Amino acid sequence: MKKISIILSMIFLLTGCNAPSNDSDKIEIYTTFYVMSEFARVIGGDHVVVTQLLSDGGDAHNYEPTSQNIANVATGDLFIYNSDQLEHYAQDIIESSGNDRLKVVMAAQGIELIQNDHGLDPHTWLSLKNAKIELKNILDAYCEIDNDNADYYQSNYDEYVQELEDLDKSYEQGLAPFVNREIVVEHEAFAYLCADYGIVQKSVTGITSEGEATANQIKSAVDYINSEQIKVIFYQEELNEKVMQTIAQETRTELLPLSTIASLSSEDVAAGSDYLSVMRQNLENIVYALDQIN
Amino acid sequence: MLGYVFMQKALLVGFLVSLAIPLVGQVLVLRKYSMLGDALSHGALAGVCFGLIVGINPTIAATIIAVFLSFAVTVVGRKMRENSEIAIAIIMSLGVGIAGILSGFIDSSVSITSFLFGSIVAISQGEFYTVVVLSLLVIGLCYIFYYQFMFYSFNELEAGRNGVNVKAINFLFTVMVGLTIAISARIVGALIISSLLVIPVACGLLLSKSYKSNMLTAMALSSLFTLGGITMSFYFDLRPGGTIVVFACLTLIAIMTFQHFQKNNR
Amino acid sequence: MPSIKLISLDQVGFAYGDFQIFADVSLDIVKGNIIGLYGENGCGKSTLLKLILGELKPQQGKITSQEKVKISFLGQNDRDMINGTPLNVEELVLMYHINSIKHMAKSRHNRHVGHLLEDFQLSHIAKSKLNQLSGGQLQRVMIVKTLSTHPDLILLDEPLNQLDEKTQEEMMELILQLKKLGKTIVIILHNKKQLEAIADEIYIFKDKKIFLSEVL
Repeated sequence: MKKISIILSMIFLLTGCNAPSNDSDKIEIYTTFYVMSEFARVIGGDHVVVTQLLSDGGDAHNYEPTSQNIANVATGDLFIYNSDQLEHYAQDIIESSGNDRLKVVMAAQGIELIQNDHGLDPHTWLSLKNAKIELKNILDAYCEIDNDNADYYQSNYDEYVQELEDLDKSYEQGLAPFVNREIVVEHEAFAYLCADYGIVQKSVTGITSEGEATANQIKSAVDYINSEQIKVIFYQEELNEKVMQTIAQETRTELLPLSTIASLSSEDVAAGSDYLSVMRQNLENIVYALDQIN
Repeated sequence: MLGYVFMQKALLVGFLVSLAIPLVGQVLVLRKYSMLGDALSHGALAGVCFGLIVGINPTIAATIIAVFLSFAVTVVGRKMRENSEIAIAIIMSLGVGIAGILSGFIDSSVSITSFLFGSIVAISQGEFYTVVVLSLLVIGLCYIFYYQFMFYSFNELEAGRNGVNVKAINFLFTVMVGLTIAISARIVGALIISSLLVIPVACGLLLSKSYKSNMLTAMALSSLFTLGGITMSFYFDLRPGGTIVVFACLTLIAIMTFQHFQKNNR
Repeated sequence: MPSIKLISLDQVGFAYGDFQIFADVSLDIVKGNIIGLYGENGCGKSTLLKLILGELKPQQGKITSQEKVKISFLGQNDRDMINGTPLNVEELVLMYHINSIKHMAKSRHNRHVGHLLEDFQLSHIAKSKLNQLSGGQLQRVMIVKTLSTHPDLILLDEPLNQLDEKTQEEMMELILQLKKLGKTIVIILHNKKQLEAIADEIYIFKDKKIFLSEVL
């Protein structure tokens, strides 16, 4: 399947018709990474055509726009990205596309960003409450562009937000019994999630996901896990697992994934994963971990 | 420090790798291919991408590509004759360039570079055995073919005239270099490989009075750098790869400075 | 003693592309003889050595060789090889010895090399790095490395080039020492007097041909 898609995209590149089908009545939307695409689709339904610039699984932090990307954006109606902190290349794309009628949504607009040691944390969508704000921003843009279908968008939004709120309740209830709310993660990406439910994230490598861990960082993590008697630690699929594997081996703890959803692969999507299912899985894993230490 | 299993592993792997890498490094340096380590470890990115796309283990794909690039360097180097070091730049750019294109087609949530650049303090069980076997293999081959590699590094043409099967030795060495660089880069990090290939050998060239003592000096120093670097990473919270490189370079500078003053005082 | 022809050249000609270097060269390399080659620069003396060595193939004529004639060659620029190498004198000679003479125990290799260094007054610098030797010492080492492979035939291409007078004399003595040992040598020198002092036969290159000058 992968091979076919590569061949197809190569053919598209060669024939220069990478642009989506020309339903002129649909809103032509360009997004950066997976979460943005999903949000754009759930509200837009069949009134929008969403094209994602990063390949599925692409790292939103490190990305180089291709000239094809910019050419695409030049013909689009709407460009959706999360925040300038994450997609620092977004402004470049918008400007170099030279598209005057392009509407731009920075989804994290209006969210109070959390300050960490290195600056503002961009992982806003990992809070269900923030996700609601991001969806609202997208909804507003749709209504402005295509007011005729405003009711349609509104009802899609309401439906999805209902699910978000249900899951939010599951989080509240699921985590309620735990006094000790410490989790060990590799890279400090879950600040927004933690803030919502009073969880404390203890990270091995701190804010930066780049570069190798020091022996001292691993030692500190090992000491912490041993002294707090933590039984489960979390790795992030997009990072090198070896650091967390090493720690898990050293401390004889269980290793579970905790996803940032930033880079869901198309295989995962094909297998039925989406924002809500992954957030649900994250909850299950956190509950499982906290259950062992409470 | 030794109470932690991961540190025991890091020190053991570091020790073995630091004995094996300069053996390859000395031949590379004398053949004026110092930058090959860097070129192959980066060029192997193309292999990682290729592996991810067609669905084979990226580390294996990277290793195959590294061996292939290692041969490509030899071939291009021959065409360039006196300027054979250009081959390294060409092959490195080719590898990175292909990787750049291919990375656009990758559909996986793992960062590409994580397949290429490991860290010596985070080594999985399988990698641990791989690197132990690989190091012992390299040390064994360098011992068995000591005088052949010596001649090969001294002058290929003369080696061929005087009983060395240059084609076979070249093949063996090229494969060995590709394997060593790709696998070790994955396990202990590309920074460590590039520096252990060259810096200890350079120190040896300053200090020693023979090929053999050069090699032994390089091995002794590289294990000092590696074990020292890992220890410093443990106590001073420094990244091990960079620490090893900087420690090695500072030692080289110290040797140069010392020899400079020694000369002036005579 | 009947004369044994190690290598015979029969009407050999060689050209680089359209440029004929020489033609119609016939000579026999007889065991125990020292053959001198003399002529202007670019007349093809070094090319002739490469033909004998087998690294070049003649366009005309043919070269016949006895079975398994082991040839050792000292090139004009061989001294440049030592640039940047950490090898010392003993290691260099041992390296040639071990690679060219197979199936011999390491201890015997060491002993042979020890004798060689002794015979040619190199024992005192055996542990010196090659790039720290004087020009004369280095050339002596180079001749010994050429000898160390136990060749049947030695080819020397301008072995006195770029050496001072005193060193040249030393080298001449060394080559005479080889002659006494009964070695077969083809040597190129650009000083005819020196050549006459050591060679049994001298061939002179002229007008793309070679002539036997005299038999001493």
